[in-house]
Parts: sequence; C-alpha cells; structure tokens
Amino acid sequence: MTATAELLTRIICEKFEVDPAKIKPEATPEDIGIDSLDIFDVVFSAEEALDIKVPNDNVKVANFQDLVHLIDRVRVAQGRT
Amino acid sequence: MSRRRVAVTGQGVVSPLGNDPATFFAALMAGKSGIGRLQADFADQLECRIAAQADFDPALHFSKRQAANLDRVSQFALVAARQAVAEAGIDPAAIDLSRTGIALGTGMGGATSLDESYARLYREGAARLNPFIVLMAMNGAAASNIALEYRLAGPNYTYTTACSSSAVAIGEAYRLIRHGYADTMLAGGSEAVLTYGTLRAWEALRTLAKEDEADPGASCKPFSADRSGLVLGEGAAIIVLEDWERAVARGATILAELVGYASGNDSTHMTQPSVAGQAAAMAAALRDAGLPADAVGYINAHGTGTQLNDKTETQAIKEVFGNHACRLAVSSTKSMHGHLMGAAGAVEFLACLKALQEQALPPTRNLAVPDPECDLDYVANQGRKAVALDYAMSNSFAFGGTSAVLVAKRI
Repeated sequence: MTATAELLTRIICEKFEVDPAKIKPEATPEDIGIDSLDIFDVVFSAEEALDIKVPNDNVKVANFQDLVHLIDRVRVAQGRT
Repeated sequence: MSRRRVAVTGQGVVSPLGNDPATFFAALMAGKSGIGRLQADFADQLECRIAAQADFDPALHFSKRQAANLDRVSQFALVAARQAVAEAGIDPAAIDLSRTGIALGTGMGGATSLDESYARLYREGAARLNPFIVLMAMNGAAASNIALEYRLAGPNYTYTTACSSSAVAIGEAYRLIRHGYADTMLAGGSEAVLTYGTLRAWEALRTLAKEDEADPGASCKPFSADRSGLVLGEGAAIIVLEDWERAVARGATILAELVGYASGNDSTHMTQPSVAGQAAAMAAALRDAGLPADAVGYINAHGTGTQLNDKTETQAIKEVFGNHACRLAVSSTKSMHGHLMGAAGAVEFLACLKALQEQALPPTRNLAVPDPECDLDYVANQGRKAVALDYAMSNSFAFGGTSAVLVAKRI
C-alpha cells in the first residue's frame, strides 16, 4: 500500500469506524459504508494532512483506488509529494 | 371538523438537573441547583462565568461516527425523543408514520458547530470547513434528525421565537392533532448555546445574572428583590402528544391532557415585556381550554430573574386571575435549571406535567428578599407535596415578543 493509500485508509477507518479489511482498491463507497458527503469529509481531512487543495469539481470517485489516484495527482500537481 | 382531545403519553429530558424526567423532577422538588461555574476551556475569557450545563456524555448514546455529524443540540434532542417514545410505548412499525410528525423549538440551532467552524475559519485561517457544517448548524437539524431516526413522514417543523420557541412548538403540535392534521406528534425543544461566541454575545446584552459569590448555584433569583438577571442553560425536553381516542384504543398510559394553548405577540419592544401582551396570552389560553381562571392551581412562570420580567409577569397574572392570583401557586424553576432559551418552554411544561402527575409543586429557589412588586405565592425555597392540583399553566415569553401559554390537566 502506498503512503497515500495508508493515510486515506487511516482517515476512513478512524472517522467512520470502518474495519480496515473493507478498504480494498476496488471497494466502492457503498462497500465501505460511506456516502458522497463522507467522501468530501475524507478529502477535507487529507487536504489538511497533506497541505494540498483538491479542486471541488474533481471529487468524482467510483472506488477507493480512484480516491488514492485523485489525491496522488493533486500532490504531484501541487508539489507536495 | 370537531376538535379532538390531545393526550400526553411520553416525556423525555436532558437538563442541568438530570437526564430523565424522574431525576429532573426529583431535583426540582429537592431544590437542587443545576447552575454553577461554567466548565469550559474558554471560561476564564468571560466576564460572566455562571451557566447551567447538562452533564451529558454523547458516547453513551451515539457511535463516534454518529456523534461527529450531530451538533450538541441534535444530540440532546435525540436522547430526549428516545426517552419520550420509549415511555409512550410507541412501536414505529405499528403506526401510520404519515400521520406522525415532529415539532421542535430552538433559539440558535447548531450554535456549537457554527461557532467552532467560524473559529477555525476566522482565527485559524482554515481553507475549508467540514462538509457537514450546514446540516449540523441549520435550525431544523434536530427535528430532522429525529424524523430520520423514526422515519416520521408527517409534519416536520422547527419554530424559532427565541425563549418561547418550544412552547410554541408544543402548542402548534397540539393544534395539528386537535384539528386533524396529525395523529401523533413528538414536540418540544432543544438548545445548546454555551459556546464562547454565544456567551460573549449574551454578555453584551447585559441581561445575565451576576454571580452569587457565596453560592454560584444561587445566582438566579426570580421574584427576589436582589435578582440580577438570567442564567443561560442547555438541554432539551420532548413529549409525545396523541389523539386521545387513539391513545386510549392502543391502551397507552395517558400522563396528562393538553387542554389549552395560545400565542400572541407583544409588538411593543424587542426586549421589554408588556403586561397587556402577557395577560392576553394567558387569558386566551384559558379560553382555548374552556376554563375559568380559578381552575388553575399552579403556574410555572416564565420567571427569568430579570428585574423587568418578574414584576411584569406578576402584574399580568394579577390582571388575568384577579383575586385568585393570591391563591394560586406560581414558581420559577429557572432558579434551578437556568434559562434554556429555545428549550425553556418544553422543560418547564415538563415540570408542569410532573407536578400534575405527582401532585407536587416545585419551588422558586433563592427567593430571599421580598419585592413589593412581586407579591404572589411563589412557593419560595421549599417545594410542596401532597397538593390537590387539577390544572397547571406554563408561561413562556420572549425577546422579539412572541408569547406562548400552555395549560395541562391532571388525569
């Protein structure tokens, strides 16, 4: 698991009391048991942790892997790797 | 449509005097004070450090995840609603949820969430706020959270008329049932305003009581000549109201009957109460109940402990009740639980319901110095048990002018 994936797993599990075993690359928000507002909440926490800013219109994720890629793309673009 | 009778079948409370109706009322009867020095990390930045805090642990009632998205005001409301629904013995699977609703009052809704997020934004320069903040802070959040918990599909209303909010909510819920728009209503109020920003705003208004240095718990002194103002409190009270016939048909235990309600507006001044406005509301509530004035044995007064309210309310009671004003008992339980703002009317109506059920009158605490302008029987300092009480009235008045008076009958 990459550092970004580890961070996001930790955020999701702590915030929503989710079993880490549920966090797999192909897991959808539904599989994990969170909704679209919760994803914004996770992105918000990741922004704080990584000192990045994810543009609002970019938060479209179908599964956990998408979320990791989104955060990684923003980290690269904003020089926070 | 003929008017239906309205039964009270459930009660719930979170308050500075305990988090269930029995504990709350026992504390009132014992003359305990829920008022004290504010326990908060910002307390030393305040001029007025007296408040009535609820001893409330969210972890006893909600998962960490649930609690994170519920402002304190919604947490209080949900806990009070659960108690009320449990006491009423309502099975949500067995009732018509489209005929079941919620009516709540609150003055400032999710003030805690809003205050904390603005502190992050303005003080810490946060780039973005919690995505749930609107849903936590909006005034209707507490009612909507309760409606979601029980899948209520009937009316979902939040009233905000400052200090009379929850009395209005209970009264309007009573009307919805009485006139056939709903069969069962959860009704009451919730308030959680003991935040730094809110307390500083109240300090600026100069209506808060001075701390009683010998006994901080005695800082609120309604009807006493040495009264110096109100003490802010927090909590919630929610009751279950039902169409009388349905309550009887399902074999519910009926705790009391809600027989009268009226609301009006002072329309004279934003903060100064008016004798005419208060008297008109009490008289209209009696007319709604179809009662002569001398039927009422107890009034739970608005009794804030401000110089102006207490003498105005005393005068208004005399105007409505005439000679009977000297015979009925009046008390201000705010002397013990503080002023719960939007939840005050509901908490105090609950005190009336318990007074009817237990035939006991809670006292006005801290009434040490008689005021010639406040010369009624205020049940000073000592509650009374084994009384004969058939009808109790609960008065709620407010900054902004909205009055609300409720009348309940013993079963």
